[in-house]
Amino acid sequence: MDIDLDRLVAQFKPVVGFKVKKALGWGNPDWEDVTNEILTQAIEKVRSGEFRGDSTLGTFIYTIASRRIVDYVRRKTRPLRGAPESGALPDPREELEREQGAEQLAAAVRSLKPRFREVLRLYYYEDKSREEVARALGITPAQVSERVNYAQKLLRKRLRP
Amino acid sequence: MTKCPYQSKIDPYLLGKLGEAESAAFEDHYFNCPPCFQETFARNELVDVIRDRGAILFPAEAEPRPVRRETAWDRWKSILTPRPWAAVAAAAALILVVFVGVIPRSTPVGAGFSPIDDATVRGASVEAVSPAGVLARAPESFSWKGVAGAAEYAVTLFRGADIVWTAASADIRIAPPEQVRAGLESGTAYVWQVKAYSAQGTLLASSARTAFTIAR
Repeated sequence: MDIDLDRLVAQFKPVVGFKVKKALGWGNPDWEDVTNEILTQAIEKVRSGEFRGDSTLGTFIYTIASRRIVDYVRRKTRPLRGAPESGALPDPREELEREQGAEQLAAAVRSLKPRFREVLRLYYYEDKSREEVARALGITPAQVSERVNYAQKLLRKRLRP
Repeated sequence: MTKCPYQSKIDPYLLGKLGEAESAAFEDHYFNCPPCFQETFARNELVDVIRDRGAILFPAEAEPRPVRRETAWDRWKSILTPRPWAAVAAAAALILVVFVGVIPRSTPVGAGFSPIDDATVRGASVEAVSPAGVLARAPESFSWKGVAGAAEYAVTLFRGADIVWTAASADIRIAPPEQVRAGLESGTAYVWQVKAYSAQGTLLASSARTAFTIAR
């Protein structure tokens, strides 16, 4: 199978990274090593011909990722580390970047009009269902979804550099 | 552009409302659907920020009142517009002045009126000092700046609308019991508030609700 491996990495590194962080915990510093191991394994299997196209490439890589995460969670294998004294502390630069990004997003949320902030509060913070939010605001569930989606569009617009 | 049917799964997935099998199916999908992955990734940041900082972003906002359907009484009331009644009231007042010589005056403040009872003294506030913001570990104490005349302070710790812990202190600092500290969960937003009371038990001042989260 003729697969562009550079493109594979470019496409799947963020996807695998997201899945790994979600499974391991967002602050777990092992996420990057686990992600790299998954991608390395995927590339090796593609090169060796193990991937024959029976499933999609995405499903193939998802299966590798799921298994590696299960291994990690069961502590069967820990990721190889370069520095012997690397501990379980999160990378401070990554923490700072995440904190700054979160602060910008929080400021953007605060600047939204009340009707959009309210729907975000009820839906994401209060964890209400679409129907409950609709009842609370006197609108239809479809309008709840529209407002949530529109609020997100507004936020992305405000955060664009 | 046709909307992907999996888009409706993004929020439930991020909010942890999908079962294990459904979650796995959705994950397999976004490994194969770049637009769904991008939307999931972007929305995840928003959900994270709202979940972590909701107490600060939405400080003690009242639940919106549901929109009432107009009743028959509402329709009757709307027929009785303010203007005709204002004219009637003015005419009545004039009649009183002409025939009775009485000029209605505003209700005087009675001798028994006290602004303090259960109200806050205007202008006084308690400044909560710590904890606040993102913490590396559970707070070992709560501290605030003192208020003149305060004999006692009451601290309340909230998680959402639930009271996690409340206690009183004569000092401007209090340490939560160990079992309260141990029960605080990382990644969860907590809000606390302190109120100052006089020796007679009168509420003198309240602090703003101050939020903190213990980093994961």
